Amino acid sequence: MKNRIFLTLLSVLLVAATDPSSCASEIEMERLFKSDFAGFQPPNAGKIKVGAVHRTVANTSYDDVWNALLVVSMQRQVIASASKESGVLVAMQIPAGRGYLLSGFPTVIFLERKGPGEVEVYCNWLEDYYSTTGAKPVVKVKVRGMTKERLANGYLDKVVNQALSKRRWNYLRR
Amino acid sequence: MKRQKWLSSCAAFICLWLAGCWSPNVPKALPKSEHAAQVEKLFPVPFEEAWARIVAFGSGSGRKIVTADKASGLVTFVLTTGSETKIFYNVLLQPSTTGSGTMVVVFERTGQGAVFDSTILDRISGSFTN
Repeated sequence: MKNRIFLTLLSVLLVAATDPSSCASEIEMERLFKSDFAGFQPPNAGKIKVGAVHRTVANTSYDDVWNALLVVSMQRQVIASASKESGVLVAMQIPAGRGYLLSGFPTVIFLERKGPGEVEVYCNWLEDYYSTTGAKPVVKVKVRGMTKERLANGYLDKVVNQALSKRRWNYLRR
Repeated sequence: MKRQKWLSSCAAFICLWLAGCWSPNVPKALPKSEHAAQVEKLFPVPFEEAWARIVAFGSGSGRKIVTADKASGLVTFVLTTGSETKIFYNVLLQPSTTGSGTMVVVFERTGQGAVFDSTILDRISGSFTN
């Protein structure tokens, strides 16, 4: 009997976590897409660096890595904000109806000049975009360290490949 | 005799299977889509002119610019179609490496219910000639 109650509670929690329509308020990512990102402010470099996964790209230039970021990101997600000057790029996938967990993680990137021919790329997945938009925001999804590592490896491999090859590669297949 | 035949068949199969396993990891070509879409086009105008026209196109009727960064050559705009379905277009402009002109690359992301827009580059071309 106890097991039954536990399983019922668990399934309700799972549905609530994956189906935004079951929640009282929408999450920030959905609000941004609904409003066409009106007034969207990208996070600053300091915020992106906290808890980010980073990698050094050597034997290349800032321009080449930035171009590579654009080419890879534009094939995977909607680029919500990009500034070559500040080195910050924010890209998100359109939340799919049944659940935002299935639609991909919003990616936030910061590019930093490190030394001659060296560029540091910071990738992060901020919880802000998974917060509810109500009076008391609640973070619906926490992206853990291991998930960040996995996402960063998949993303950065493509960026480095693109930066060094300079030929546009197709990443339409996920 | 029958058994010997069966054993030699098995041995041949195992040999083939092992040969398959030990073959070098040669990358396979991606399958080609039957519905390949054109994603890039060379416009015979300088970057400055192409940028101005794409920005004007992105903020035209029914469209709204999400982000634009001239230093990157990137414009993202959204088109809201019927019943609130949306198509987001990431557009990248880069001076052509082979000569004069500007290379324009477009990748779309479609919202639920929206249909892939295969005519976007043609419509951008049309706006260049107007």
